[in-house]
Amino acid sequence: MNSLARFVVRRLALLVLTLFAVSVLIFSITQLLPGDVATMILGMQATPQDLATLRAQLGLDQPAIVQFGRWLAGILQGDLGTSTRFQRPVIDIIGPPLRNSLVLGAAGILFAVPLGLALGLFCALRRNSAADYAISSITIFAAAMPEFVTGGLMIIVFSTWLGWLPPFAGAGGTTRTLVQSASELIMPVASLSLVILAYILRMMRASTVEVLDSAFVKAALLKGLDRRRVILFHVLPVALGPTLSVIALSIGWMAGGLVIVESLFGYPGIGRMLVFVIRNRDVPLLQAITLIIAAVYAIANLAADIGQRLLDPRVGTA
Amino acid sequence: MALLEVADLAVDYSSARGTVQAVRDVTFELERDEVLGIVGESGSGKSTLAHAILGYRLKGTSRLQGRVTFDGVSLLDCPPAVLRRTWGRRMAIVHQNPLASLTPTMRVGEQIAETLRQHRGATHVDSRSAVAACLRSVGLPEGSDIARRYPHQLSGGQRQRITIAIALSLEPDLMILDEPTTNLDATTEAVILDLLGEIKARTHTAMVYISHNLGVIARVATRVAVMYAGEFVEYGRVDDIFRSPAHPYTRALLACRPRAGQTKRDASLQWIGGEIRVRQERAVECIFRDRCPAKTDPCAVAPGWSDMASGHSVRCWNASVSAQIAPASGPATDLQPTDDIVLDASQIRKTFGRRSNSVRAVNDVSMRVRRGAIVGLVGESGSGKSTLLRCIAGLEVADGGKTAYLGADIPASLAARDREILKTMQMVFQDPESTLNPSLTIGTTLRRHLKSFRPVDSSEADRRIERALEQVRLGPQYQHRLPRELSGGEKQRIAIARAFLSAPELVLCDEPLSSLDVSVQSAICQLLLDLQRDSHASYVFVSHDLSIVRYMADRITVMYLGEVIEEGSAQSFDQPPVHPYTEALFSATQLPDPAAKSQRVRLVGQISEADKYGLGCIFNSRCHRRKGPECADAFPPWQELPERRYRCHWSAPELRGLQEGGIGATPVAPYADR
Amino acid sequence: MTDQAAAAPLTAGVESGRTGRSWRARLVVPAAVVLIYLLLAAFGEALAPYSATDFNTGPPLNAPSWAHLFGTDGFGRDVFSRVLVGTRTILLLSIAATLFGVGVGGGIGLVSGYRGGMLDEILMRLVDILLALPGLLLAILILTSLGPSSLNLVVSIAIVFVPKSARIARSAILPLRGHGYVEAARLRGASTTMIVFRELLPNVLPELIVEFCLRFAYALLLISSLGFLGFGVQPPTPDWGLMISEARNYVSIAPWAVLFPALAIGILVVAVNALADALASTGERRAEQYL
Repeated sequence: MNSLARFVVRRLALLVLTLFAVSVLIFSITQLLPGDVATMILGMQATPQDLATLRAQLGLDQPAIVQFGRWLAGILQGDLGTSTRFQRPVIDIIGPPLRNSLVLGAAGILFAVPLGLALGLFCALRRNSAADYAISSITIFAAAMPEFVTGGLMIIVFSTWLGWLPPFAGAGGTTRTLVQSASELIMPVASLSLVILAYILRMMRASTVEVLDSAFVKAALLKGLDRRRVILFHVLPVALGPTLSVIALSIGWMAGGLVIVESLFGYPGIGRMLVFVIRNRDVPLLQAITLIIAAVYAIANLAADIGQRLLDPRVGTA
Repeated sequence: MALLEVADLAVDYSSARGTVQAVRDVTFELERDEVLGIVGESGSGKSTLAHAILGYRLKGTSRLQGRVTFDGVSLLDCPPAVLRRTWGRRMAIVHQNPLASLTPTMRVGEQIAETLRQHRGATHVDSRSAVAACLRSVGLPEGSDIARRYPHQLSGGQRQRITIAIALSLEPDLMILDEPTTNLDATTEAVILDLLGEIKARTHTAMVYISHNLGVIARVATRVAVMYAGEFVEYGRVDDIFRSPAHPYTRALLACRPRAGQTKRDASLQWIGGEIRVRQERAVECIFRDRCPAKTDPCAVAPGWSDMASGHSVRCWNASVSAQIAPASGPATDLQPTDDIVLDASQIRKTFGRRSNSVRAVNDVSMRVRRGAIVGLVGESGSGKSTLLRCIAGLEVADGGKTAYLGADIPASLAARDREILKTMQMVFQDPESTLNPSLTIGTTLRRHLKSFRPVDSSEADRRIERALEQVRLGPQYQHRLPRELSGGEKQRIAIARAFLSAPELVLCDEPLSSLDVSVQSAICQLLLDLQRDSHASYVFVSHDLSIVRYMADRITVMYLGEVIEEGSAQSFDQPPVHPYTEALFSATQLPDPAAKSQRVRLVGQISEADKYGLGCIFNSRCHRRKGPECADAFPPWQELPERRYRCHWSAPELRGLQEGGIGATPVAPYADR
Repeated sequence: MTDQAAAAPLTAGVESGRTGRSWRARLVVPAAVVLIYLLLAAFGEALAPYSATDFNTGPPLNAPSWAHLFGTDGFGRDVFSRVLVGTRTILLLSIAATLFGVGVGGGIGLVSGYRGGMLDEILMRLVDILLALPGLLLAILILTSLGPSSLNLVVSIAIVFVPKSARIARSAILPLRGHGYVEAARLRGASTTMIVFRELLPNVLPELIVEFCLRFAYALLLISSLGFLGFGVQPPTPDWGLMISEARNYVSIAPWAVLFPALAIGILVVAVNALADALASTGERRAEQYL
């Protein structure tokens, strides 16, 4: 346990370092964004004096390092800054879309992860059967499709042609019934999770196949153990480890997917907001959104690392 | 009825190039309390046979035919449920690589317990005490937390004890041991073999013991089957096989290894030309015909079994004619080392890693090599022998010490060395599979090497490469081949040809034989000796195989935990006293002679990094001849003998007294693993 | 010697034997599809019945007909011509970005992996930081800060590729570092460049080619996604992603304006991915490296 605790502490420290490095990265990239914030706020007709006053107000006349320090200090106190576009605190604006995106993302994960793991295991155990070939070939298609292509095709089929599902999602605000919102979410969730479903499935299949061929599985069978016990206690824990890191990577992939899917379905989440924010050069809001995404991603990776360590005591001892 | 009856067993694999017959025509019986040793080189199909006996189809098996009857039950056509009830409970197997055959994510105690629960339905509490009993039965200490550890947290020896404990846990009637000690150090191997001997005496379990090592087979087996290319070629009691081997293959195998005390000045070793060929269809001729030194006309037809004596049969037309072991030929070399010193390395030191977790791999080691001499460097894994060699070569930059080469000091770093030094100091690596660039033809590899030392025009390069190939007994057509088309022995020959292209003064050989089959090893030994006779080069020859080093070397240096604990002329090692560690190493050598079962010295515990940082002798925690508190408190001095010196608190007369009656002939030290 | 090795020559052919036959079939079809796309990229503009940028080549939102095989969009542009001409845009950009990204990343990874030590430590930490942001997000950020242009599109995608390709190349070269032939090259005084590019590169080339194919598929996906979001190729240049997002709003009236560009991307991306899959004997292992 002691070594496990040390492992977790080390990874937590690494998480903090990563987030710091990422915040530096985000800050420097957003500083490079073309366009002057003060001009954006006041418009083209603003006098140079007004612009200068506003810049001083916003601290834009300070050196970049000072601005970064202030920004970071603000974040640590829970202050994400003020949106230049909406002239309101970022923290107030970002709540509802963040919640919406989390619903969409969580639904995608809940759909893709269990299904991917189960199908991957199934294919590995029935290696080279017709079912395995069929499923594995489909994953090659699914793994490569951009979300807006799968989503667009689904809209044509299920909304335009069949008329079963609404072509937009989340536009109705709070007036919708549960059934309505559920049917709205089907296509966004499906297009969001198809790629990661394919990857989780393939990874699970590959690592299970590798474990099934290993000497220790042969040894376990030759101890006369039940097939079920061998799969549950000798194959699964080892095969699941590498798949966990693919699941964590999937969450990063989903962040990109959210931007696409939300734009396609008009879903009011942070993905769509991100596009809007970039168009309007709302730097504080942009920084906040990217930092939140990076944090979620980093935490997912941390969770996968710890999960791997719990499954396999060899991890991190090298 | 015998416990195990195997009749006409045949196993085929399907491969890209068609069917491969891995095992054919295997027939034998095994009674309780017997140990059948199956000996064969790589590719002989012995591991396939081990699994076929269990009724287990290895991956790719396309045919498993014949009869395997275990205690009246036919295993090849019984339902899987019957096999599952038999495996683990009545027949158990111990695999070669314990780290790979233990599940990495499960505590080892649980891996024993689940077997018990499966077959006996033992409850959790029952199985806990049963696990403790199992651990005790393989000599793992009680009260330790070993059962709660994971496989990677154990040493190699402990892991193999665990797999043996699993196999033993339900007191099976038959144990199959598939090279169980091959990946272990010699001293650990000796201890495991002792353990198997004890188990057999206690439980009367029948065993099938599979090994490539004739010495190990001679030690453990009551009956021996010699396997070649998937078939048994000779079968008999252990004494028959080792005293009056009848098949030319068996005789050649025995003659490939130096006999006790034999050196290069006494006799050259035999080797078997060619290599085992994969059989695609039933051969009409004798399977050994293409490599047989004693082939005659009748060999064009496969021979049947003929009895040499009761229970000793052989599959050879000429068996009765040539039952004698081939007479020893003349000395393998007549080259004598001169007084000229080629290499004088002193106080070499190398530490890996950073402060907190640094490993001191080589500590103040000095070594001298005379022209035309072979210095053998022995020690077990972790002794630093390879690191020392790499420091001399410049592949690792030594942290301290001085290296004089051909009379001048040379820099420790490779980058700072002159081209002339690089040219004349060459190296031969351990693994033939990676010693040649897989994407380059042999010709390109050799040409690159040649051109890096001086510009040569292409016709001269061709000439020199052809000559180099000829020197290592390979034809010029090898130039155009890729490494994957070559056997392990051929690759190692190319590596040697590469080393000799630039007229070397010093060749550093890093375990050049350890990945090769016995019959190929001896050929490479002779090749190295021949090349040395022609070139007067000097060798540093690293090996963990004491018999080979004793045969090849003029001087021997013994390393333990990064330090030299003994060094001297090779022949002086025959006479006591020797350092207690050297004594244990010699005693752990398995000689291919069933009568050599003398009492042996066994090492306690295992190599531990912590021992390097104590005040006393680095060997004191495992030493069976501890003198007293000074061993732990004071660094031992060199004890000088006429031709040798060793580092120990025992003076030469004292130690000689302890070791009287021959090295290693002392009671076995009580075993306790830490 | 080990018994594993003993069994190897007997069993080695088994698996490769089975996949050996189907491997060729799995390679030929996707390779043919990719080749057709390459031909369309070269000659598509000449084959296009209308100019890709002309408005009102026919009535707007017209269903597919002989005059307009794929129908027309909201501005009356010919969808067929736009899909054809769009082939070149996306293929050129993707190939350039992949070559650039995998080339630079691969080179860094090879040298860093071979040299090891401090250089390797620092480079790999930088890689970790770049990888802490999801790929599409990083691409959007870089692209918007550089400003929209084809060159910047290529550069930002290449930057996204560099860290992953560096990691792949590094992990491919790491196990080879201690091999005898590498040490033999060091002993004869060969330079780092010589060893990395003449001794080691040929042996990791198959893995780099697979990496290239996977990255190429990913580049297609990224570029079309950026186009879809409006950050990519700027109008009026026909871009499949942008075409879909423009036609999104009237999809219920004119589904063809979404359908055909979507199929064009879909088939190409699947073919490239299938090609990578066929090239990699252990294709599944790559999942980790792709995402």
